Amino acid sequence: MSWLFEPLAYPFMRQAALAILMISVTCAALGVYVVLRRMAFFGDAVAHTTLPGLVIAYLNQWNLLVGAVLAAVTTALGIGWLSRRQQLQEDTAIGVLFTGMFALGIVLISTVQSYRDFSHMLFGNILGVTHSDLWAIGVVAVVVLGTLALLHKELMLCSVDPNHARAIGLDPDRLRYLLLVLMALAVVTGIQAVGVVLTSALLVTPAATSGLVTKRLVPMMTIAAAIACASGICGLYASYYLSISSGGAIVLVCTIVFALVFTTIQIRSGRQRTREALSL
Amino acid sequence: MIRRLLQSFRRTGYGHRSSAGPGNCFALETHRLTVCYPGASRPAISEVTLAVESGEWVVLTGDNGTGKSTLLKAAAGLIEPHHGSIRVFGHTAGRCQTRVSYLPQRGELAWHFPIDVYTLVMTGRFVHMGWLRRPTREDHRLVEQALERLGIRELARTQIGELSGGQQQRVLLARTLVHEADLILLDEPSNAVDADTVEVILDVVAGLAREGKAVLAATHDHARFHPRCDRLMRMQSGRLVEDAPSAAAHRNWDAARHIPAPAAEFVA
Repeated sequence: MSWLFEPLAYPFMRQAALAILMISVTCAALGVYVVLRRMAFFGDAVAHTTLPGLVIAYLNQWNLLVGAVLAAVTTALGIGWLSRRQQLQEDTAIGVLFTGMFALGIVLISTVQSYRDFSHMLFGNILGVTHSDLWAIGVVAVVVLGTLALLHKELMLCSVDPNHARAIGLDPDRLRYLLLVLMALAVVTGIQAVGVVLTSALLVTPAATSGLVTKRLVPMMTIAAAIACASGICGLYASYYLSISSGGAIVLVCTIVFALVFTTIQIRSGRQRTREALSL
Repeated sequence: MIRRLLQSFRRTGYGHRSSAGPGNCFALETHRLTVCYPGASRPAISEVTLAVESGEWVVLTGDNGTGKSTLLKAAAGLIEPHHGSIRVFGHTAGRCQTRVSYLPQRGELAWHFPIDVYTLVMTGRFVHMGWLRRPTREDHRLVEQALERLGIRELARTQIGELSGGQQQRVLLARTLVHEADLILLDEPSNAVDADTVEVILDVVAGLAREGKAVLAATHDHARFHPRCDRLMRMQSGRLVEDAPSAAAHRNWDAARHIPAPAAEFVA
């Protein structure tokens, strides 16, 4: 069992484990809404659009999380504003802002001499999480999970039947904005773990996997969180023992779990169909 | 301090909770109501004047695209009038959510969302709960009663994505019942559902009218509703072209289908 405890002897590994557990639960719970409301493209876009915020914060020696949060929230609200009342399709608004903001990030990076400085933004560096990062990740986790719990019935109703929600005095547009801002916050913490390029996987993959296992909302969130936590820790250990990128390893484990569950379900439903055909 | 803040937040509810309007007012009253959708070349409904009293069951008929659903949405406060007025129990539409229940067309819901029938019916009680509140024992009793009344008690724990069209319609009507509203707006309640379900829907709606509720049901299938309702209104190209007691309206409507004629004059 020494292989299990050996990595935890290092403080940076303990911090990384704690960070990935908090990020996993936050992203997975929120990811269920992302998957069910078909907002996966949005999650990917927000992750990419944090790049200019990160670069500006880096150049001015601000806290990187603050820069990322500002960029992500600005993008989230911008997408919500552009696509309100369906004047512009949401995926079109995302496409325009996503590429524009990412291009701004690349231009800003090109003003700095070396690309190497920004590799931890693009690919994540969970092993480099500091105490202040842990606090920020913890605060985001409390805000996101607390909001999901407190507004559970309102978010559910607006997702199932926005017209009924509006008819009883709720504002589905405002709740959608709120969801976009929560996504922006979750994505920013995800960037710490797996970087700008892969962070949407933390939102989408565990939720998509749990959607294959259950068709009930709260169990779907719980299972997604469990899958994300297990994948996060496995990815971290794989990174430690195989000396591979931690962000890549975490996302790869998430994807392998999805592939295993998907294949198992396919095989089971195939057998079921065969049994039914034989019994006819 | 925090507890006091939470209590005041809980009391606010979602929207307006006007209970009593001016005396002797209609459940629903529109005057020269015109509604336009953004970017549309012509109004969806134009200069519609009508009134529905408490205890009255009115069927709004007409072909697809004649403005029936738009009128219901305006009455539910989902669409702002472009011109004219719409009043619900004497208040501006959308200002007394606890007294108005709107049953949308089935296709407007995200049926793939992973919740069960019981939870969807419970959403009809949310208007009375408001922010941060959880369902009470009374809310659960009303939901169970509504499921029983619609004959779908055994479906309570079934996922909404697994329901047939008729079952979906019964579930939506159950949700409308638990709302305990005084004005009930039904958009195509019998569209593409089986004959048994239509009978159940008609019985429940007739019961609501007997209880003193005002019911306005939009349907292009007026033949099934005609023998049971009090009044029949007909819309054509966004205008109300007929408003009469149901039997007479039905005779006029059948005659109009055989003899091509310009739109009948509005009968007040």
